[in-house]
Amino acid sequence: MTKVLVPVKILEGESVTPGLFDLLSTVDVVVLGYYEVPDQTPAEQAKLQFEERAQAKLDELRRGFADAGGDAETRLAFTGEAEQTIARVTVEADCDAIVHPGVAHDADRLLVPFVGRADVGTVVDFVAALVGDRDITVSALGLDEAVSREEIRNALDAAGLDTADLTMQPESTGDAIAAIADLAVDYDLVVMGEPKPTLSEWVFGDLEDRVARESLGPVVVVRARD
Amino acid sequence: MSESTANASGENRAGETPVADELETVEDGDVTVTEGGTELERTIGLVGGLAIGVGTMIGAGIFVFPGIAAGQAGPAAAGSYAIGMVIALLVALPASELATAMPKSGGGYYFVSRSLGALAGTVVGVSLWLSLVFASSFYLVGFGSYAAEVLARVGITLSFSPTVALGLVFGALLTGLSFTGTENTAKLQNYVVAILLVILSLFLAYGGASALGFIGESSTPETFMPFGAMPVVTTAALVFTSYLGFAQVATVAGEIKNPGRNLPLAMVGSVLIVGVFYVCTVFVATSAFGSAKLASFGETAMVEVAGSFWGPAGAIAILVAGLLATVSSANASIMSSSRAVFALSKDALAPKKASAINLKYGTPHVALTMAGVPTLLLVASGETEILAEVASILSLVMYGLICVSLLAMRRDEPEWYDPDFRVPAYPVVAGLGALSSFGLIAFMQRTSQIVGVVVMLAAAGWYYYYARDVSLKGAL
Repeated sequence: MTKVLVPVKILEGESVTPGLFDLLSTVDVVVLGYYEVPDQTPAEQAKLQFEERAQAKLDELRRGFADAGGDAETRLAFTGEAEQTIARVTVEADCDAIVHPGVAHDADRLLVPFVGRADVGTVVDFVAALVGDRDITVSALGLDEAVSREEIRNALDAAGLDTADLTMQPESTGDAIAAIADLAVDYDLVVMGEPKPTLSEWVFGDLEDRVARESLGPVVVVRARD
Repeated sequence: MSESTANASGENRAGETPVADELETVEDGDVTVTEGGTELERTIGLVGGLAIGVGTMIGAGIFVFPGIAAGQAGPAAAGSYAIGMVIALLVALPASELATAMPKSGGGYYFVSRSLGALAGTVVGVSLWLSLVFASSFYLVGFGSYAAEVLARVGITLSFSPTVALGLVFGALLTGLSFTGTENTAKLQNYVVAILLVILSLFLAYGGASALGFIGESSTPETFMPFGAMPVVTTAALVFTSYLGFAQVATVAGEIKNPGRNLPLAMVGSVLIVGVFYVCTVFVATSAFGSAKLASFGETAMVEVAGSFWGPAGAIAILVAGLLATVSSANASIMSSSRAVFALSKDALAPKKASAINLKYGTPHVALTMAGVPTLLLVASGETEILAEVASILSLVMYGLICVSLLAMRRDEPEWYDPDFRVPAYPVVAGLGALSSFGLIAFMQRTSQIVGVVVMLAAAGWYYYYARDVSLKGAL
């Protein structure tokens, strides 16, 4: 079964909107509630004070997923380094994708951009599992010079997503984030592959983070498995 | 109830009970999972642990004291620093064993309270809190001396001595930052430590070559112990503050990855690193100038030494190093001090409120206030030597009791006691560690001794007033 990780800054007002509960109802969900403490604070100290409150909010989220017909398990972590915690839990729980929560009201339109030398097959298989037999519109967007129209089309057809429409804009690779963000406002969810690390990511932050920030909606990043 | 299942019990005057630690499993050394399933991430590696130890220790002790020490003990001041290193090592070994058996936040306080009980625990916990407060003040006064020297060198003259004022301003700034700062100061600490080690290495490489006569004029040989052996020991007592810090590694034991390996390496390693640097630095400094001349330079003697090697550039490098070192030590001590308050409060030996965290910044504002405010009051005194000695006395009592704790644990090993690291020849090491820790206190100034005793009596009084029903012995 396909499994996704939903990391949520549990004590800082971050939450999951109804559209995302519905969208993720076809896959197994691990909700990771976390609270990041600065160096001044032992994680243990934060746990003592906030554990109950955080657990109550996590339970609320689990009910949200259950009400939408999905299945969710929850984990709670207090950490000095959120990135380390998310990476560790992703591996431990064997998740196929990580969800950056954002606001989604409905669950019927997906945007799947191919960018950053992503693995087409893995992403398309994930999208097929997520869509299931639901009536969800899938729009594929080829932004990656290294990936051809045929390659994407074949992958979509093989995964049973033959109704998906496909647009190629390889020339906009340079400003892929703006291209995705422009389109994303009309969609409920962006699904993309894990980009290979590049120099510009090192400078400007992770590609997927910037997409999530600029498009405002939730972004699912499918892990590259090797 | 056997000791393996014994739990902290009893209640304090406010009706609060110690928070029982849940049973936990450590998975692959990177996370602690409590019984309730909540995960606590371990984020500090070996390098981070070494940086905490070295960064806390390399501070005012080496940048402020060489001149004063040389004035008291002559060239044998290097021997005084060596005595400090031996004592620190004798304590670091037992502390490492206990820390791997009990990798919990709270460090020395935790071991002592669990092996010797709540009264000894309270005395050590309060001493640790205030030792770090005295140490922070000492570092800030050191910072003030260096900052004042910078002002003097750029030609700004003031009608008053700016040392205390600068220390106060910076202390207030550091305390304020610790309330709101969510930046990763640990990463910054690593860079600061690296820069310090580079500057000191260059200083030693050149100074060492010069002292041994390869470069420059040969200096006139001086009697090694012009004032006899006694001042060497009293100087060792004075400069021992330079080694306070290795035990701080144990206060973050709950956050260290793979504690069985990384804790002992970080503690013993950081003592060895700074010890060697100290001894060599003082040797170089006393070789460059005669010890009498060095003493006349006072708190910023190191700047004069560097200036004599490389002119203004050398002086600037040491000034920068001195400023960085004193600030990083003061910052680390204020944070550790707030951790000591947390450990006491968790065990109901101090009010629960003391460990409150504000949700907005995620920082323990009450405990940080309890560290920052007394620090500023003490900076205002400007008494470098007393501040340093009281900090040392309060820590030495804890160090001695840590050694006693090891003897108590090993003599009658409880079932749960399973350290990953065991001290070889433990009765000898821990026995010598305890004797030398307590013994060094005897060589300090009378005023410092009185302040130290008053603090400990007050801590014991607090225990009898507030928490005499709390029992912690053997509780894990």
